[in-house]
Amino acid sequence: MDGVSAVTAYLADLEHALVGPSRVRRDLVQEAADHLEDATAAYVRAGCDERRAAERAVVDFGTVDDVAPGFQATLAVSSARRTAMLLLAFMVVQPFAWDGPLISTGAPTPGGAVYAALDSAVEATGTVMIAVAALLLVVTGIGGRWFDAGRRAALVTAGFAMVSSVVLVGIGATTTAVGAGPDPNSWLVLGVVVGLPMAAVAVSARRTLATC
Amino acid sequence: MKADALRGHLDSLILAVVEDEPLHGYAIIEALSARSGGELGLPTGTVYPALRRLERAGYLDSAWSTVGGRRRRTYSLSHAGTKALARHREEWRTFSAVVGRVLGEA
Repeated sequence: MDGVSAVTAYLADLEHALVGPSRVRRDLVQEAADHLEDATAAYVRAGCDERRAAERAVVDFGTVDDVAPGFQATLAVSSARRTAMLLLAFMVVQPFAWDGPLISTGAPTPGGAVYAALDSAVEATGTVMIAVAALLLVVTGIGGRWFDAGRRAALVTAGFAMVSSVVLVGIGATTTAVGAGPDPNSWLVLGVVVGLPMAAVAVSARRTLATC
Repeated sequence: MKADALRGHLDSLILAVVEDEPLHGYAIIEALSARSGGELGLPTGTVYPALRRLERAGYLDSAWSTVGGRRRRTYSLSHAGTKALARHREEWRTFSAVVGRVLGEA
């Protein structure tokens, strides 16, 4: 195997071992490629032939088994941060959606103990979700100043986002069933305002889970 | 020096080598090696995740720039990183002085 092949094969193995956001993955592998090119050139300047120089550069960099977990943690946290951001953005908008289009679909706001309880549950759950999503955003960002937010933080973020999506859609559907019955407009608005955003959050959470 | 002994100090060492000027990854590793007299025996590939972690923490800023005719991701110390480095230095001085006293330095 010549020098170029040693580096190319190593980079291919490294890229193959990584799962996560494509832009971040591309950047990480590009940095590794830049490093290996520099290290190879340094060994050539020191008197090694090209093949030996590339092999030594690859050995110095560390085996894929040694290096990939650190790179993968970077990808996991990056993906988790994206999921937390998405969840927070949608959750911040939710109160306006619940008080806006979901309730003003024509029918008067229903009364009754069950509806009132569901309405309170939506508010309480939403508040908790916003607070936790904001916390997860901090943990996967500057939280690194105090602890190493690695794959475990990504796993927690993905799990929380997934559960939040299911819970919010569940409460939304129950509230709509109790408040609006079979009214198609209410269900359409629920789908657009709650269902689609939460589906996007769930997809992002699933992608984050795949990086953990 | 064993990699285990280095763990926990790598972040401070990285912050120290980018204190004076922005550097790309390979230059950071070269500076670490030069300043340590080649004693830091860690796989060089493990430095890159640490750089990303420090960037996320707000201690480093990074940007793609052209160095020597090639595009490189260059890292520089942020304001928060400067303060963190000063704090780490102070903690290290205290720690090494205490351990030195206990071990009985020659």
